[in-house]
Amino acid sequence: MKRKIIISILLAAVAGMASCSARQPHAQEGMNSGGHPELTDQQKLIACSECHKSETPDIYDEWYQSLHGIGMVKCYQCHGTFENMAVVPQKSDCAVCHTAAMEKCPADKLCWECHTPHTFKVH
Amino acid sequence: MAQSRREFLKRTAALSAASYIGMNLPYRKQNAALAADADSWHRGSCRLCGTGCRVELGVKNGKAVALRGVKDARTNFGYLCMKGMHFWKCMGHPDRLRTPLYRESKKDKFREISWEKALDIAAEKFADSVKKYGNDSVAYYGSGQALTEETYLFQKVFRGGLQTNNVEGNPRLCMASAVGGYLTSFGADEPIGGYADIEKAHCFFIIGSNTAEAHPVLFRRIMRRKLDNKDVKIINADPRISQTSRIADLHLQFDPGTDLALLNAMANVIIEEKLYDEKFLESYVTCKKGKKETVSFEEFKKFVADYTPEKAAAICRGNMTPDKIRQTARWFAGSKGTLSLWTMGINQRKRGVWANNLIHNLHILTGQLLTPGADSLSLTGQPNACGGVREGGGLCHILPGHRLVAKEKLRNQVEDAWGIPHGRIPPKPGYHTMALFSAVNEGKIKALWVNCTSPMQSLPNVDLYSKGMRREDVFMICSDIFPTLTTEAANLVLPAAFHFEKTGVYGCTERRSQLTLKAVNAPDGAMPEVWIVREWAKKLAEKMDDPVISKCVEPFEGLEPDFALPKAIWDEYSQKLTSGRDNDLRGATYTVLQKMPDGVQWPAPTEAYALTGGTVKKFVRGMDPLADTHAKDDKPYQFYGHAHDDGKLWLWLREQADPEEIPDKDYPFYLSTGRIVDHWHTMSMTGRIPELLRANPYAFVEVNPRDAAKLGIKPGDMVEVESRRGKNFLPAKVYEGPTEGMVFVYWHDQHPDRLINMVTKDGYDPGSKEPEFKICACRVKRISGPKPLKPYIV
Amino acid sequence: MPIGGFIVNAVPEDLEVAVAFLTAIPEVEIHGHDKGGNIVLVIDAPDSEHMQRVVKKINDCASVLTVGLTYLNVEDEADTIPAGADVTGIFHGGPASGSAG
Repeated sequence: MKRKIIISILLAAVAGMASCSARQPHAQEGMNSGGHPELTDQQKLIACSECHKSETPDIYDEWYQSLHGIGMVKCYQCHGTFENMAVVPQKSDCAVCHTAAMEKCPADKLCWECHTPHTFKVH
Repeated sequence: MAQSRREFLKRTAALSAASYIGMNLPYRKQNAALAADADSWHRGSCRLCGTGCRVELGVKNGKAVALRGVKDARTNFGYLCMKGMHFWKCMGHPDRLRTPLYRESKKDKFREISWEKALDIAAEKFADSVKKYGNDSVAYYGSGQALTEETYLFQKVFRGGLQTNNVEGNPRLCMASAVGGYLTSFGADEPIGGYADIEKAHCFFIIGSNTAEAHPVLFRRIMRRKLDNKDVKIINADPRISQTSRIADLHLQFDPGTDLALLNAMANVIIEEKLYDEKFLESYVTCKKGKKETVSFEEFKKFVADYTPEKAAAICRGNMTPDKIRQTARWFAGSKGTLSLWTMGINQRKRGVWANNLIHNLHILTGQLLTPGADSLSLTGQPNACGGVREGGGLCHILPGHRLVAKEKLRNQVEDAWGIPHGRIPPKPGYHTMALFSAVNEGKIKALWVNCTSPMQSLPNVDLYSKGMRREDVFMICSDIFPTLTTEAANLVLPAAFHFEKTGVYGCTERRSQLTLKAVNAPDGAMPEVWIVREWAKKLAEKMDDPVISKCVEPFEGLEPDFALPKAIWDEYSQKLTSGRDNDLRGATYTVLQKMPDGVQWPAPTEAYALTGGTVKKFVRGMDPLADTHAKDDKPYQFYGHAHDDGKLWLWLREQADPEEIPDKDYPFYLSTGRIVDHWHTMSMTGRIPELLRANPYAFVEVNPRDAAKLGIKPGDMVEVESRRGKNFLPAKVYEGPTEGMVFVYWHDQHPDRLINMVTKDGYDPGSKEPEFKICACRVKRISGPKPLKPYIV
Repeated sequence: MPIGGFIVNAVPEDLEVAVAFLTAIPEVEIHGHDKGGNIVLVIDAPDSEHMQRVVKKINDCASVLTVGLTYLNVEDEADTIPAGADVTGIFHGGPASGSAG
């Protein structure tokens, strides 16, 4: 419940500040790109996607239809769990599986500069 | 609000902002395991399923800190699944067992004792039992997760030393039916081809396997194959729509237990529409009604003529139609390479061997075998069920090197290799798993050693068999890395070293043996099993006053346990006991295995050959060295398997057979069980990794929406699932997964309310003795609305 | 006591001026900036209205082009809001959590 309230306030705040934020990337998705609201221990037992299916449906759908979604590479692999959560993963998180790509792809670029996050298609 | 919490929020706020512009803030490095943080990388196999993915463990300051895939490995090409990426994180868990624990009576509390004392007690109890109650009053129950060296040494001491064939293991619960199928259809255990066929296949027939969750890395390869080749067809046959079905062109849904009719009907279509390979049948095939009863192909035709698609569709129900069966058969027969894949949905069945035979039948009929992309491939669930247990002699009826206990000549070969007198290995096979635990219940087994598995959770109808293990007069040793439901019932708990804390070989699904070297130290007090068995055997020899027991471990005396000891055991096994056998591993020495990124596929008689990777396809001349040495004629395929003296593949006449229990008015639903992607087996490892635990903290029951509507069950409601044997209380997931009239429960949960093996049935296949976990009858009722639940790990 | 994460876009040539301006505001912490004029900052204010005022102050700075909010935590204030939202979510169904992350 608290989670829902925080999220709704967050959305309201984003809307309210629109005037002062001409550059507001992904304004609609503002909340999920941020840090995670606090959860109770019981809430931590909900799979990430259970909430994000409704809280960030676009991202969920992108992921679910992607090769990661079909191949069952879930949220926590890249983003960690609550204690070690990172909104933006490390390149080394990708390297766990994509060792070959690490050699092939340009070293000075982050993986997601070319491979769109969650859908993982090359631009 | 606490200061630290505020700091955390600020950091989070900054990270969020930085993430938009791709800016690197110093504290973005929140993950404990960064690739760059490791001092050294150590190659080995994944600890979990039977795929055999190769990984590198990153070690820093003597501790495991990271893991990555090995891109040159022909099993996974660098890819890992969810649980594979995380398994190493349980190594440093505070629950690790670190000191032997003992209690005289199971009513007492455990107390810590020294290794010296623990091994003394272990030896004394086993010696006493043998002296008082005979050799068959003791037993070993092992695991498809033990290293080959471990299983081999345990069985050597039990058979050669204690003179009993009561050597079993949990692979009996998972792939005994596949063994039976391969032996009776192809004359030799284990698949002809392997994963390399995935990239060459044009049609996948996935039946009784949720590959996406149980073997995700192989699933990725299948998915990739389909994406790269639009003509590739995927057929998924399963009573339940699963993640695997997402890539299927055709999903065949049917009532549990009716798939033998489906498979026979596919054979019917193949014959009706003349899609079979006449030349292949003439050259290589015998039709069989019984082991000693050969029949003509005409009789086979007559037999399957009865299984018309119309008849089968009526038996199968679900979404099955005669047209779907015809389409499936045409795709199967007509593709340029058809690969069948299955696992427990076929094996854990009252007629699991028959179901295996009927899949093989389709490949034999169509000649979809031995050529690129064509194979009949049983996927294994454990990392070393094939290597350690099937090949290493880890079941009651087999000796190392695919030898049958019942054959004197083969027993003598083993006795000679061990340098012990003929007659030392008893001629009678021991108890198979279900008979073993029945014997425990009856008090016939007085001393039981359970290694690296948890039968208190993993046996079917587990309440019944728990009673035996809890008996005061059954002395139970349990060697493991964590407390489990089974260690809770033991008298003596021995703390073992984990994967990467010791050295040894795992053999995966596709006849591939791979070495994992020790990379980090075990927690103080935990020891490798090979050391435990050797030291125990020495004490046993004293107490029994039997020099033959000493002889069993004599070649390993004084060797340090981290490398030299397992290497000596592997050398003895591979050089002396696989020589002249179909799983010839003489070329797969530690030296070769250390060089290979991904191990060696047997047969591999020489080191030079093993260094090429070994045998990709068995039985094919020019590809399999044994096909050349065993060749009887000029034909390109040579079926030299020891189980078929005619050197032919056998096409079986097997009727549709019902499961042991089918729904009735009292228990109107089918119950089936399975694995979830985030957890593995009894959750003792994956349940201790927060990422994995939270992804699926407890088991739930899947209910078809139409059944849920009838029963008034809403998502999240607590539901009682009850069979004639026991009941569970689980939260419900209502979704279009299980077919109408069937519920499905994941089996990893240890909580007594959600331990589904209290409900499953212990009927088993009369041939393979593998229990029918996958099908029983139950009733389902709503108990209450949603309730908060807590995960439960012993 | 809300905490917000922001991206400020400053005129690249005026970056130093903007940073100096922001440093002088007590509620603001600067966590990083780049050559492109992006500045990552966190505002820690006693209440939301106060935060709004700080944001306006930054936005009024001539060297600042935009101020963008990316994260806002107002859980202290959330505690004081009367309960009323529905309690769902812990065990709701949907595709097998097998299917989900």
